[in-house]
Parts: sequence; structure tokens; C-alpha cells
Amino acid sequence: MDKNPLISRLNKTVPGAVLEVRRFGRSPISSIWVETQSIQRLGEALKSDPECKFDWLENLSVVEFEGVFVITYFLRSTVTQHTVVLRLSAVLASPTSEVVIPSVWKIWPMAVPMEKDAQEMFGVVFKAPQGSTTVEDSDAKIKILPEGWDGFPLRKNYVFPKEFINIPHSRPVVNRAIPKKTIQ
Amino acid sequence: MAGAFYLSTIGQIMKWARSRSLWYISTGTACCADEVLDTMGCRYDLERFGCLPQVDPRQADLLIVCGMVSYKAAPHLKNLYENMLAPKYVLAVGACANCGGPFSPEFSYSVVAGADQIIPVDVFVPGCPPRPEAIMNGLIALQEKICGQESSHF
Amino acid sequence: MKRNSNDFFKTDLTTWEIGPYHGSLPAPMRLKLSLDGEIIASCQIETGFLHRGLEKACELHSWKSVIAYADHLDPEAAVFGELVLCLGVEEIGEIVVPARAQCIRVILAELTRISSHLAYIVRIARAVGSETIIHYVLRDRERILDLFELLTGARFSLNFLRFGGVCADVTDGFIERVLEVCEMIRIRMKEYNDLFTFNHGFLKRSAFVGTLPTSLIRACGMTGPNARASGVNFDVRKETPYMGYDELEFQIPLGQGEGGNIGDVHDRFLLRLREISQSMEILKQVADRVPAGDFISSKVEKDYVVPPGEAYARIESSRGLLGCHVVSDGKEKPSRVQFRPPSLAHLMAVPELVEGIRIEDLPVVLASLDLGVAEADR
Repeated sequence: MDKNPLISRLNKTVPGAVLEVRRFGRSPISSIWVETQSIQRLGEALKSDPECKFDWLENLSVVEFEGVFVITYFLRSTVTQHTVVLRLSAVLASPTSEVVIPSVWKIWPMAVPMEKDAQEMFGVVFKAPQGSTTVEDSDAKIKILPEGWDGFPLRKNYVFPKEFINIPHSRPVVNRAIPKKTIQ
Repeated sequence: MAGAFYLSTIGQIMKWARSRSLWYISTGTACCADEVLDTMGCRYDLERFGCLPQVDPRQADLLIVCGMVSYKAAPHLKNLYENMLAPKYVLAVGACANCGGPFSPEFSYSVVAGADQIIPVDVFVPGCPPRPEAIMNGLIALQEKICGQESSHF
Repeated sequence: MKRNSNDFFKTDLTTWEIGPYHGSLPAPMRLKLSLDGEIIASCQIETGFLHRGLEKACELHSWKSVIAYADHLDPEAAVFGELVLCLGVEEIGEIVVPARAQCIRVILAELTRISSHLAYIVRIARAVGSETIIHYVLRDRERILDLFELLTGARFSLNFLRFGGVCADVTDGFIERVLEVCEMIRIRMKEYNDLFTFNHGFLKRSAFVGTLPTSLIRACGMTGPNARASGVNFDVRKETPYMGYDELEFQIPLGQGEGGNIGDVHDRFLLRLREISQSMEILKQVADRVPAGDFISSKVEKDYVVPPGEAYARIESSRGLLGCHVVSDGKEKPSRVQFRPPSLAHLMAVPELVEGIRIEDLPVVLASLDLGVAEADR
């Protein structure tokens, strides 16, 4: 499908949002790099697009790449079977800080569990237009990690805890008959 | 004289009776729960050992920890164990319940390295997941341990 | 808040928390229920008790070992986790899978789908309280697990797929045994139908109960048999065919609502029985046309390192659309492996689906959704 009409329509309705259009990996799907603060307006424009209504957010994945978070939205249209990929990037200010991104859960309600996952695992906070975060709204208050867990596990600089709730996080290795092989 | 008779013969009979009718609850977590379900099935019948599945911990003697225990679930497992009435036994099935298995402390941040960090375990059954025959082997070893015999099964 | 419509019973709201380990729950999860008499007014789900840190463990292992972790994603349908990872990596590395390996993969995938649906019958029968059918179904599921053991050596976590194909060729007589097992299950399905499917007791507990409306399906992004039972016609094998599914002829069954409504518990059950029949049709077609050839691509050598790039692969697993976003930066360990489990959307729909049903129907409705909490928690 020719994506250029879609990009030109988006540039008319939401000017300045689309930064760059590339190929996604080696597939024919286009990946559109989006300016972070305009993701909500762009999402609404994509959902109400007359030609291809992107009404299904299939996946939301966060990748950390050398201190920069790349957030990828995989969109799909249940009406016309088009797919497109949106990407945002956000720079991590310091190793322990959080990153704030506008939330899209008002546009695609299925984003709630995925945004909650990303917040717990990476520290990427998704803020709704009223100023509240995804985790504070709706039923997303309940977390995957236990209460009182420190740190964001899927970051590259995460250090495993030594113990949690008085249970040590280690196993004494005794009588190892076979020597441990290290990966070269 | 009467006391010695009680301790030796009737004690042996009671231990034999306890070991041959272990009613169990199984904490069905991820992978090993399927194998325990198959052990309960009709090909590898677990009920012929006297084991009846229960839901209430107060009515069970045996706790089968099948699968991994996460830090979030650890207090609940301890609560479950403490609600069982003595005499009670624990069978740890699978590599994750033994020592963390593939989710050992150097690779996984949220899995407790073995169920025996939380509750005392009587018999460990290795495997990922262990075959039903291995689970039955572990159960027979537990029965022999309860009777105080030397086991040929481990 | 749904209040009891019968004013004769003057009931009050009570709260009840069912803890993670309970016999009526399909998997460890915590339910905070607010009950009005015997009717559920609201429900909140807490998962995370099966969180293993799978995605982090994948980043700490070499590429070959990640396949063993991917098949622990969903233990009952282990092949789908490996398959989606292998498809993603093959897209990055531009590896062409030989036709024989593709046929073997299709056979394994459809056998896993049948095995997972048979386990679903066991779970829903336990929830309803019918203990007889469990043993009939487990007897037949053992035959499929015997086939897995014949080919790979393991019953559940197979670890058999590799990047570029499968790890070993099928032995002589394997394909004939697959067809024998299919024929046996086809005959046994009639036994299940006589014994359980249209049994008056099961119908009373499952018809008109837990109807899933299409608006909830679209709002949560549910896929798979749960969505198809309510009439949403979406199957990844037809939309974006992979692994040779576009050359096979099969129909996608949709919910008809024979017992009660379209999309109730009985409909979801019947749909999975029909999917078992369809999987057997696919197996018969594939078994006729397994070509001779390599079982793994010659481009993949012993210590294959994936080139830099990324891919997103999606397949139809037995629960719904399973996706995997693989990112590689050319090193020996993956940079990121992210799974998109179908059960995340199903869990999101549970609080709204469960409102207004009776407390006795709660285990039945939860079991009917085929929740794979292990894959939702990863």
C-alpha cells in the first residue's frame, strides 16, 4: 500500500508531527518517527483517518538503546487491514530518573495494560491529558512487581537485588562436579 | 512395656497409614502443573497411592509445590503452608521449585531460588518438567521417608 | 454497581479477596470481589504471581538458548513461543526455511493447538464439576504427548525449533502415527459430544452465561477463539499468512450460539471443538505433502549470530494473536525480545465481563476464557 497519501494527509491535519518515514526492519511496513508531544493528536488523526482507520493498537514495545528509549506502537486497522508502526524516542536524563510520554489510552483503551507494563519495567510514565498517569487511572493500579520493589528491571543498568522481604536472592553452590563453562 | 508397644507397633501402623493416604493440594503455577495434572489423569494414576486432590489446606497433608515461586507469591505460599495441620509434608516438583531452575538467581530477578527458602521441603523431584513417572518416584520416596525406612528411590 | 434485582433478599455489599492459590482459579491470581448477596458487583484482578523476568533472562543468554526460554512463555502451548521467536529472527537474518522444515513446524503447531484445546476441555470440566470427561480427554492428550516425545524427547517444553528450521528430521513412521492419532481423536470427539457437550447439566451451567459482547472485544483488543466465538472473524493464519498456511485449505469456525447466545461459555467451548476438527484437516493436508529435503537452512551454522536489525512476527497461537518484537544489535546476545501475549487483552476484559454474574459461575467464566496467566505475566 502506498503510504505517501497517508503521510501527506497527516502532514495537513497534524503539521510538524511526522519527523521521518523509514522501513520497519526488512518488512514492507512503514515506520513513522513521531515528535513526542504530538503523539496524541497524531493518534486521533490516525484513528479517524477516512481511508485507513487505525483502531487497534496491537503492541507497544519499549527498547533501550544506549541511553535512549525507543517506544514503538504497532497499529492495525480492523476495517481495511493496513498496518503501520509509530516510533518515539526519549532520552534518559539520568540512570535512575523516569521518562514522561503522553498516554494514548483515551484513544486506544487496549493500551492500558501495555503502558502499565512499560512503566513498571522501564520507568516510562505515560501521562493522560488531565495530568494523571495511566497507572493512576482506571484499573491499572495493580502492579506486576511486588510492593516495595526498587528499580526498573528491564533497564540495561539494572542490578539484581541481594534479597527481598528477608528471602536471599542467591543459592549456595556446593560440590560442583562439572566445572562451570564461561561464555567466551 | 505398654508404652514401648505403642511406640513401636502402633506407631509403625500409624506412619504406614499416614503415608498411604496423603491428601494433597497443588499450587498450580506454570509448567509443572500440567505434569501434575497428567499424573492425576488416568494413565499415571495418582489416586491409587491414596492421594486425593483437595482445595482447602486444612484438609490436606501434602503440599505439592509444582513450579516456580515468585517473590510476590512467597508470603502467600508460607501462609498456605502454615494453615495446614500437622503432620504435613512438602513435595517440591520441578527444577524451579528445587533451586530456581532456568530462572535461577543470576538470570531472573523475581523468582525465589527454590521453595525451601520459604518452607521446609521433604522431597525434591528434579526435571523440567519431570515426567509423571518421576513424580510418582518422588511420592514413593516420600512415603518411605514417612515410614522411616531407607529408600531405594533416591 | 449491580444490585440484586430481587428485593425479597435484603442483601448488602461484602468484599471477598480470593488469594493466589485457590482450586477454582485457573492460575495464581488475586481477585478482589465485591459481592451483593451472591451476585458480583465489581471485580479487580491482580496478576504478577507468575512473573519470571523472562524478557530479562532472554537478554542474558546467547541466541541459541533464548529458544529454550521462549518455549517457557506459555507452557501448555510451548511450540508457539518458539515459533514466533524463530519467525522474527528469520526475518531479521533473511533466512529461508526449507519446505520440509516448514511442514514439520506446521505439524507441531497444529498438534500443540489440539493439545492445548484438550487441556481447555479438562479445565472447564473441572470448573463445572464433571470429573468423568477429564479422564477421557487426558487419555487422548497423552497420545499427542507421546508423539511429541517420539519426535523430540520431551513432552511439554520441546525446545525443538531452531533458527532456519528444526533441530532434527522426523523419524520413519512419524507422519503415519500423526494421522493415526488424528483419526483416533476424530472418533473420540463423538464420545465427548455424547458425554459432555450437550449434557443437560453442562448446558444449564454454560448457556447464556458470560456472554462476551463485541464492543468489549474491540475495546480490549481480544483475539483468538474468544473473539471468534462472538463473531469477530479474525485469524492471523488467514489475514497475514505465514509458514505456508496460504496454500492449505481450511475454514475459520465462528460462534453460532447453538446452546444459548452467540459468545457465551458454551459457544466458546463448541468453537474450540470445531477448531480441533479444523486442525486435524490441516494435519491431513500437510501430512500428504511433506517433501524431501533439508530440515534446517544451510545458511545457519553452529554458532549463528543474528545480524543487526529488528522484526515483529505475529502468529495465531491457541489463545489468540501472539507477537514478538525482536531487536538485535549484532552481538551474541539479543538486545531486546518483547512478547505480546494474547492473554493480556483477555485479562483486561475480565472485570467487565464478570460484573453481574453469580458467584457460582465465576470459575466457569474464568476457565472459559482460556487465560494463560503465565504468558500474560511473562
